Parts: sequence; C-alpha cells; structure tokens
Amino acid sequence: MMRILTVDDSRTMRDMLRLALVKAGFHVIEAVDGVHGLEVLGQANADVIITDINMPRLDGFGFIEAVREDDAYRATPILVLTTESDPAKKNRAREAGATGWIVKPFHPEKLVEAIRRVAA
Amino acid sequence: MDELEEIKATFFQECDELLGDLEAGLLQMEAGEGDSETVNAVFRAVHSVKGGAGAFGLDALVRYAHVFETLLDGVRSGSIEAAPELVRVLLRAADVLADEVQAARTNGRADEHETASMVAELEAWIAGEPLGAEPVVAPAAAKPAAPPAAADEDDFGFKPMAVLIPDVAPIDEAPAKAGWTVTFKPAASLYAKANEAGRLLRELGRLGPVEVELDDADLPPLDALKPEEAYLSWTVRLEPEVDEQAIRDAFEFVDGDCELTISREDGANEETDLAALLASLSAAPAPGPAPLEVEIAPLAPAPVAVAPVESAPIRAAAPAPAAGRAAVDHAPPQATIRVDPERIDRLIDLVGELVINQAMLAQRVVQHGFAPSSDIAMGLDELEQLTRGIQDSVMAIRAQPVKSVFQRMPRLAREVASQIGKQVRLVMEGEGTEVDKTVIERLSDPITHMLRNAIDHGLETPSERIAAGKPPEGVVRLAALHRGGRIVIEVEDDGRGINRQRVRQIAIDKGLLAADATLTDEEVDNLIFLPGFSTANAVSDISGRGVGMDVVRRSVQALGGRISISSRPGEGSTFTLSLPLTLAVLDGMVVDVAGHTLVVPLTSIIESLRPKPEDVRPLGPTGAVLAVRDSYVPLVDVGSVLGFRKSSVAPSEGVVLLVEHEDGGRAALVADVIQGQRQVVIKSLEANYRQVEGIAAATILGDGRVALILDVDAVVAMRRREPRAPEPTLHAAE
Amino acid sequence: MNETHAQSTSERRELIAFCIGEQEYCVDIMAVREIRGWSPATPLPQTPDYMRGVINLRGAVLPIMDLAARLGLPTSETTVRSVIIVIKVDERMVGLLVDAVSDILSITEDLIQATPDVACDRVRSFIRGLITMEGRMISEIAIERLLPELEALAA
Repeated sequence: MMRILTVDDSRTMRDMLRLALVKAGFHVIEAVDGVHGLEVLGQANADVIITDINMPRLDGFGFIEAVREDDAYRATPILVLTTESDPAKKNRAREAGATGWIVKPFHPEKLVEAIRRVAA
Repeated sequence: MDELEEIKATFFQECDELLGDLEAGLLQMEAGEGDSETVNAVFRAVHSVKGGAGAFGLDALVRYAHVFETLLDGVRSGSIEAAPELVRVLLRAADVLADEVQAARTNGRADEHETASMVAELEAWIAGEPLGAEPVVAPAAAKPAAPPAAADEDDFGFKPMAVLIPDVAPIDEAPAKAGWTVTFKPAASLYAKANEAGRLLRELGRLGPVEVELDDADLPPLDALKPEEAYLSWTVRLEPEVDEQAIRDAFEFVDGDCELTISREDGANEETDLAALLASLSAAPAPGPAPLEVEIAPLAPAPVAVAPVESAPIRAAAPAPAAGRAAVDHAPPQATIRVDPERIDRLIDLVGELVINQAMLAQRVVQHGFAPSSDIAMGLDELEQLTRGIQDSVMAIRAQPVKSVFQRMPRLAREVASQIGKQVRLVMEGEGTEVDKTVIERLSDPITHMLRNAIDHGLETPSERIAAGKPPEGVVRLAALHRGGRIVIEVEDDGRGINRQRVRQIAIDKGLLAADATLTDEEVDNLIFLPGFSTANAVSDISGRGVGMDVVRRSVQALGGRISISSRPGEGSTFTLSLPLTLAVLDGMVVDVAGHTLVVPLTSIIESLRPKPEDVRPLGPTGAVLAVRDSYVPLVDVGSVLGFRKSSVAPSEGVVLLVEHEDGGRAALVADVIQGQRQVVIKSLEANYRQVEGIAAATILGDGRVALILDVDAVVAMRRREPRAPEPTLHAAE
Repeated sequence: MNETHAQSTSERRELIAFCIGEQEYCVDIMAVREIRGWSPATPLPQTPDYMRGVINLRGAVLPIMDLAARLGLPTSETTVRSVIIVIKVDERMVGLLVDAVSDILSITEDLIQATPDVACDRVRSFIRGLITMEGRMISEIAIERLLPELEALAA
C-alpha cells in the first residue's frame, strides 16, 4: 500500500487529507510542521509527501529543501498544498524541490489524480 | 458524510485555537514585543481559518479572511508597517473574524454592516490609504486588494483533465487529421524535483495510443557520463483527437524544467521498443513495496552498456527502499490523540464507582474483623493506592489549560474599555495552567465579572490617571496559578483602589454594618461581597448586568471556591479567586450530626476540638461563642441550622470543627462524632434536583448510601441570618 | 391539553398504573426508566416535605418525591410493597415513591377524559386526564408538572 506523509499545521486540513487519501486506498502518516515531518521521515518511509507551506517552526520551503538533502528522499515526490495564489511562492516551492502542487480547497479526486501523476 | 461533519467540528475547534493565537499574537505586537515569527503566526492563523473555510465552502468566511490575510501578508512581507494604529485595526478585524467564524458555525450570519465596514477599512490599509488616518505605508506598499479567493484556483490550480479512453482509440487507418508531435527534453532540474520522464510519458499514454521515440544522441561516452546530468530526449506522437490542453497539463509540474514543443504534423508510424515497454508499463501498475524500481526501469536506455543506476540520476539517488525502512512499518507516534469527551467522562464516572466500591469493600473487611495486618486488609490497601493512581491519571486526561477561558478576555476588555471611554492593556499570565474540565466550565463567569469590575470600577479614566501622575492606559493583569492544591485566579488592576470610606458608608446606610463597627481594611474591602451591597450609583451597566458581587461569591462558593479582594488606595486592587482543581473528588471529614452523616471539606477545616464546657460562652438570645486560645469564635450548630434538630446540643458533648470561611473569618461547627477522613467522589445534586442551601453536593459512602457534603460558608452565613428570622421553618414558605 | 403528546387517537400507548392509598394513578411507560424497591433515603435540609431525600441509583444521586404528599393526599408509612418509579423528565431523573404498582395498561388517546371540575386545583394541575377501565378510575399524572418546582430555587 502506498504510504503518504501529510505535513500541515492545521488539524482540519490533516483530517481532510486523511479522509480523502484513506478512501482512495492509501496509507497515511501525519506531521504537524516541517520539523515534525523530518522526525517522522526519520522513523518511517513515505512514498509521497504532501506538505503545506505556511507552518510554524519549519515552513514548507525549508522542509522540502531538507527532505531533498536526504539521500533517502531525493527521489520522493513532494506535492505542495497551498492556497497561495502568488506565482513567486509556487516557484519558491519548486526551487526548493517540490514535484508538484495541489490547490486548496481540493477535491478528493484531484488530490488522488495529482498523486497518481507524480507517483508510481 | 458523517466524517466530513466530524472534520467540520474539528475545524471550528481549531478556529477557536487559531483565533486565540491570532489575538495573542496581535496583543504581543501591540505591546511592541512581536518579532517576525509573531507576524508569521498571526498570518498563519488567518490563513488556516481561510483554508479550512474553503474546504467546507464557507464562502462568507473565506471572503472576509482573504481580505484580512492580504493585509497581513503585506505586514509580513514588510511592505506595510505594523504601526500601532494598524495593530488596533487588526485587533478589531480579529474580533470580526471571530464573529464570522461564529456565524459560520451556527449557519447564521454575522453583522453584515460591521463586516462590510471592516472590509473597507482593511482594504484601505491594503491600498495604503487607511481611513481617517495618515498613511503609514512603505513606498512599495501600494498593492491593490487581491482578487477574491476564487482566483486562487485559476492561477495554478488544476484544469479539467481529459478522460482516459485508450480502448476507444481507433486501431487501424492513418488519421485523416495530422496527429500531435511532442518533443520533450528533460533538464537535470526536472529529476532534482523528483519528476520523472517515464511518468510523464505514462501520462501521455493515458491520453490515447502513443508512439515514443528515444533520442540518446546526446549521451556521452561512459567516462564522460555525469550522474546528475540529463542526456535523453523523447519524441512522442499522439492521436489528433487528443486535446492540446490535456497534453500541456501532463507537463504542468515540469514547466521550466524541460524543453517542450507540441506541434501538429504528420507522424511516421514507427514502432519502437520503448513504446511497447511503456504500454506494458502503464497497463500494469507496479505492485509491491518498491514501486520506484519498476517505474524507473524504462528510463534505462537500452543501447548503453551501463547499469541503469548510473544513467538516470534519479536512480542513483534512490536506494532500495524495501529492506531497511520497510522494517519500520507502523505510523510514527503521534503527539496527541483525540477522544470523544464523553468517553473520558464515562471513564471518570467508572473510576468514581471503583473508588466507592473499594471503600465499601474496605468497610466490610473491617466489619468482618480482619486485622489491618492481615493479607486481605493489606491487599486492599494496595488496591486503594492503585485506585487512587488510576483516578489521578484519569483526571489528568481531562485536565485542560485555562487558555480556553482566558482567550475570550482580551476582547471583553477591549469592548468594556471602549464602552466607558477607558484605556486598558490586559496582561495575561499562566494560561497554560491546567484544571479539570468541570472547573474550566465554571471559571468563565466569575472571571468575566472580576474583569469587568476591574475595568469599570478599578481603573480611572485617562484624564483622572494623568492627573494622578499615571500613564493614561491602565493595566489589568489576569493570572492563573496552582497554589496549595487549588487553582488561583488573580485579577489585578493599577487603578484607584477601593474607596473604603465610601464602601463603609454604603454598608452602614444599607444596614449591613453597625455604624460603630471596627473593621480592618481588608474586611472593609470585602464588604462589597455582602448580599445587598451594591454600589448603586457607581454600578454602571457594564459590571452591573443586574448581578452583584454577592452573587458571584455565592456561585464561587457553591463550587467550593473562595473569592476575596484586597486593595491599595491609589495603586489598585486585586481580586483573588481560588477553586479546587477538580469538582470530581474532594478530601473530606466524615461526621455525624443528629443521626445524619455529613462530609465537611477538609480544605476549610483548621482543626478539630473537644471543647470544655467553660470554653463556651452564650452571646445574645440564641448565639454562643467558643473561646479558642485568645479569641472567640462563633459557634454554629450544624444540626439545628440545617433543621435536623430543633434545639442546639451543648458543644462540649460533641466535637467542634474549627473552620475558616471565605472572608478569612473563623467559625466553630458543632457535630456529634467524627467518623474519619476520606476522599469522596462529588455527585451533583443539581443534575437531578437543585441546589440546596447549606449543602455543596452529595457523595456516596462505603455503605452505598448518599451522604451530603456541607457548604461551610453557606452554613455559617445561615447561622448569621438566624436572629433576624427567629422561627425559621424547615421549608421556606413559597 | 395534549399539545405535548400530539398522538393520533388510534395510536396505542402503554401506561404503568400504581396505587396511592385507595386511588389509582398512572404514568406513561416511555417516561419510566425503572421500578425499584424502597430503600431509605438521605433527607435533604431546606426542602419541601414531599421530598423524601436522595438515594444512590448506580452512582447517580436520585431525588425521591413522595407522590402522595405532592398530590396533597395523606401519606402512609413505607412498606415492603412500597416502590420507587424512576422517571425521566427532560434531562432529570426523579424517583416517585408510591404504595404499589398495580397494572400495565394499553390505551388509545380517546379513552382519556378531561379532569372534572370537582377536583381541587392542586390535584387538577398534576393530572393529565382520567381513564376509566373495568370500573376503575385511573388518573394519568402530568409528570412534567411535578417538577418545575425543582427549578424554583436553583434559578
């Protein structure tokens, strides 16, 4: 079963993601911010990572950069989840190493579709 | 849709927290203590509210939050300066956001006028022209109000995807219309973002039959091959029916990371090995724990005699994921779990039953004559300790920080202050202090009252303050702390202090105090809690609300709490409220009074005495006092006050509990026999009946019978009243 | 009169009938949580005389109302036949002390007659209506009216 790590400081958003992903047959693990996300990745592997941008402690950009520096996760697809409409933000996420993005609010089908596009 | 409703409930819970964070952050900024992380946190709070609201289609909330967020984004990026007047606007904007959240929660509507005028104000700041204020905007700031939230999707959201219809595609003849030719050359940066050429080709494969041609002309000799570089490019031919946008969408994520051309032209029908490979690949999704390996395989260019690992940079970066990490196959420990509060309440009830049962068992063991050193008695002792341990742990689960109550107070303070033209800064401390849920729910009213009182009565007007040599802005401190197994709430103002002369005069005028009474300063201060004491000409509709401090004190006492005030003329006053940490259990002294078993809360007992007849002195027609060392303490015969017996017994025939009541005074409660000390589980009388004067609550003793828990302060107060109503009947006339 | 029990006349209801002295009363079975034997109650101070006190009902504190006293009838000593009918009204539970349970009735709403004027106001105010059955007259208690008194001092 494909394992997906969701990183978001909003419990609501984590719950929404979990609901959609579990229904689509994924296994979901969660983290509440970038620092926690790295901790979780240290303990369990993820096939795809979905991360928010605005988070305390370590934001999405920093998190993505840190993940890409880890040899184990250089090839792991990372989707950025954001409401940001600022293209500069999208580019920053890409520069950090994001594979793709999902716009909030998302439809469950589109979320799953995006995962399919970047993952095996 | 139950799950969605549940998440929605979570969202509103989270909103409460976010609104609290938002306000706390803004207050920090107002106090000049905010740094960039504070501004970020403030932004995030509004951003998260908006994000969640969008997920549930709460459009009004999204629209308002969007404007608010846009302004905060300007502050965050430094294009708008966080001047004090802006922070004050943001605080009010936060209040409106709270109203909008509340409206969304109740499916109601917020005050449209208020929202609209707040939006106008926020937009004016965004535009760099704050309403009714000098622009305080950095040059680069003049940023137009962002378009409504819907624009978000357009910018880089998903477009509708073409439907995958491989079976329908024509099998044979050459297309009448020219097909699509897509040439695609990934840059190294594409791989660095974990995108893969293979997956992009697969996406195209979903659009219909494809022919794929690999161009490895750029592939250098083996010794010149750099693992991080990208050398390969592909040409893909698609059916003419395929939508161009669908093709572009397939490359959406890699825009800028590859060279891409999409054109219509005649294609040669050459089969390539790769196309076949690809077809088989997209037909059979990779199973098993290591999908990456299967997926990447087609990337290995066949003619090159190097292991695929070296040729595709991705491959080099990805170690076999299966063995090492797969061992940790469980989700990581999560910081918190969420539990339906009813389940915890049920658990606490059950543990309460366990405590009672354990006590019943212990009592029977004693009745059956087992020695305390017997195995069974010792086993029971251990059981008791375990039971206590379980009880403490379970209670700790339900403990909550007082933050949830505190976070409503800044808004209250702002509103009260602006209503009466005072300036106040609320400082809060100890918001993380934890108490049982049963107490949290009861803290709000008294704190609200004390705070209103502090601002309304305690603080002076700005002009009075300036005249007194104080800054025009008053400071009210709201603090929570643990002390002596209780939670203490302090509300301290730096206002004028209590006008003792006047309080004393009012008490005398209302017949609450003898004109010649000598009272300490503290006793005078606490006169404001007397029933019937209402500083009528000073009570405005702010602190008044038709409720005097006596009512606040009564409700606090009903919870086993105390409230008092101390004052320093010209410097301010401090309200101190203390409550037990839980309303679920209580340590009590079990006594017999006129054949009834009563529990007296241990916290109010100073000591128990066996008075000698000569220590008891009559005072007045029915009263009596007890000489305790150097002072006289009023005697209270609990049995007659509660109507359990007609006439008082001689205190020397029973025992006396010396108790301290809320205003620091002492009284001597007369009982017949002390049975012992015990922790009891508090059971509400109000759940099924109502409050009974003189009784705080009930409990269930070891024999399974209900015993009443004495409300010490009330009983003392009832004794005081007695002389005024000489023949109190057992049940007050209706 | 029946606005709280808007039932069609053909719909059957079950009632539990019980004795207070020589008289028979009943309550809707839907309100009854359980029926238990009498056990001594802990008296509450400062309460009306029809409140017998409180008992332990599996960990909850249950107030016991002497229904005879509440209706203004002569009260009798509790006996082994005395029972407590535990009813739930709104969110509150209260035990009604009665002499004995006599019957379970199944009736339709049209069997209920209005209370005649002869009864005193106090009794009338607690009676929803009268049921005549096999020569017996059974009064249905309007349980929700027994309790508003509970709110009086709490407010």
